[in-house]
Amino acid sequence: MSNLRELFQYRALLWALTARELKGRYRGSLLGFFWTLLNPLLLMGVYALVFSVFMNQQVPHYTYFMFVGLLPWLWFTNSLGGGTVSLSGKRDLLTRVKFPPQVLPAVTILSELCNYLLALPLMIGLGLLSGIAPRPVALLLPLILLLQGLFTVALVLATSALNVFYRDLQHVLGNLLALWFFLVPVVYPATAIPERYRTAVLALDPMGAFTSAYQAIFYYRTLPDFRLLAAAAGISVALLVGALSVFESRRDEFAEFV
Amino acid sequence: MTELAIELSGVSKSFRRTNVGPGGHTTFKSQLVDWVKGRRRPPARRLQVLRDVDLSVPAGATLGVVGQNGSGKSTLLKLVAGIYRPTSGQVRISGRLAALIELGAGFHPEFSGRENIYINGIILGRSRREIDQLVDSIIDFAELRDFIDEPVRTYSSGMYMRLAFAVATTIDPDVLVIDEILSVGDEHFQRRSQDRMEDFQRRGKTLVLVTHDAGTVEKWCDMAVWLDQGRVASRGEPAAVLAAYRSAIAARERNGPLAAGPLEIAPPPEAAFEDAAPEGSTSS
Repeated sequence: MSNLRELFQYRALLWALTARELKGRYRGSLLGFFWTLLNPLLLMGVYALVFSVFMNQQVPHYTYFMFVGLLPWLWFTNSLGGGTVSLSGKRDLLTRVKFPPQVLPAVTILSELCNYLLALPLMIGLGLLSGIAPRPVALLLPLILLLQGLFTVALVLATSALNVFYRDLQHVLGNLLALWFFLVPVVYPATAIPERYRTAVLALDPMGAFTSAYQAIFYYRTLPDFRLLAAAAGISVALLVGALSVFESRRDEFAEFV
Repeated sequence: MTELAIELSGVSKSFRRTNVGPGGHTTFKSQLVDWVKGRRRPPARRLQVLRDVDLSVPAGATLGVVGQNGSGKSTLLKLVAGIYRPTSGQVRISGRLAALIELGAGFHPEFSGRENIYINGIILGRSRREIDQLVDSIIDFAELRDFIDEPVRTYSSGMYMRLAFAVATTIDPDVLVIDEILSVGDEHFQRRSQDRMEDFQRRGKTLVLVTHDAGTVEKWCDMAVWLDQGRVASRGEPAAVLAAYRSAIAARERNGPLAAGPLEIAPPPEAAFEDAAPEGSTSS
């Protein structure tokens, strides 16, 4: 817990680095910050083309449906991909100044969260175009964000620490994430999962639970399944406890091995 | 007794050797293969860099650290700066510490000088508002007014060090640790940075300088430490420490480059590498 307390103490650094990250991402490109919006738009176009035209999904307003699940997935997958190398790629910082290293993975997760939040108006606009206006149940978003944030922090703390010592991890993860993406009901509705397995799949995979919850509040406009969210929260907390101990047991060695 | 700014007691530091050659690197794969084959790796070879170092620097003093390459000076500095944690022993620092280690202070190459000032200042424990107050004097001191909004990757090494020095000193730490920096910059900047360090000393701040230059130690330091093969070979008055250091170097040179063994004053011979496994047993 002292790990998270330090993170809070260094929140000024956290904000400064996150702002830097967001501003710096597209520095040197002609369109600059506009890419933050353009990227998910283009991606949406690609997925909409592939899945609604070629795969002929039987979901009404499929593009919107997919966008609802895809954006938080991007937050997750980019956080995990970027967060894993956030320590191993920052030799300059780690070997020259003293600061709590958990700030670095946290910065990746925060800046990816900002990207998600910035793309939300796009998503809502698309919903309006499809005739799906947000209802009050959408106000549950912060709860789901908090839980997904918890889960992501737990995973990334562990992977970022381990990747300093085992660089294989970043390569393994890239492929795992590609597989994981198709296990999560993003491009297909959860109802496409055979009923026998559906609850188990969603209860065991927090990302599945979160994705269904986003779809519930934004697409179906109903309450999410709170039992699934509770299971995801439980898994996240357990993971976080384990991840903190992995991180803490290794942190003294980061500066030597990075 | 005056308050201590830096206190090291019984500090040792060893590193696991990262051998990138065949059989040296640990990966998931190699660990998995070892595990499947039921093979246990010999414990990693460790490199003992510092042994049992005791050091007390009273607040307001300036300490010079001398020693040959590989004597452990930089490791000592990183321990004092809190970047490394000692393998055994304790390091205590009182007050805010800033360190100028290697080239630069942890700047991000893609970000402008101004952004790096803020990030560095925050890492050194200042608030954004405090840095707002200081940023202009930092830019002026570094004489980078025209370049401050350019990414620091475009800076020359002189500009880079000027910025690092300006940030670290303007942020006003209680303890300032500097690795071979006084020679950085042209004469003009050297004069200005020396003025600033004198000001630092006058205001009762603690300085640690690591250098190869005996003149620097004589000019600046109240006390000196000579590190030899990770041990404190001599400490005390700068003049006495330097004399011992110089005569040992001279003796070593007389004996030829091959006889770079321990010195008369130094502790008895001891292998620098502690090899826990018999030679040649490293698995592939």
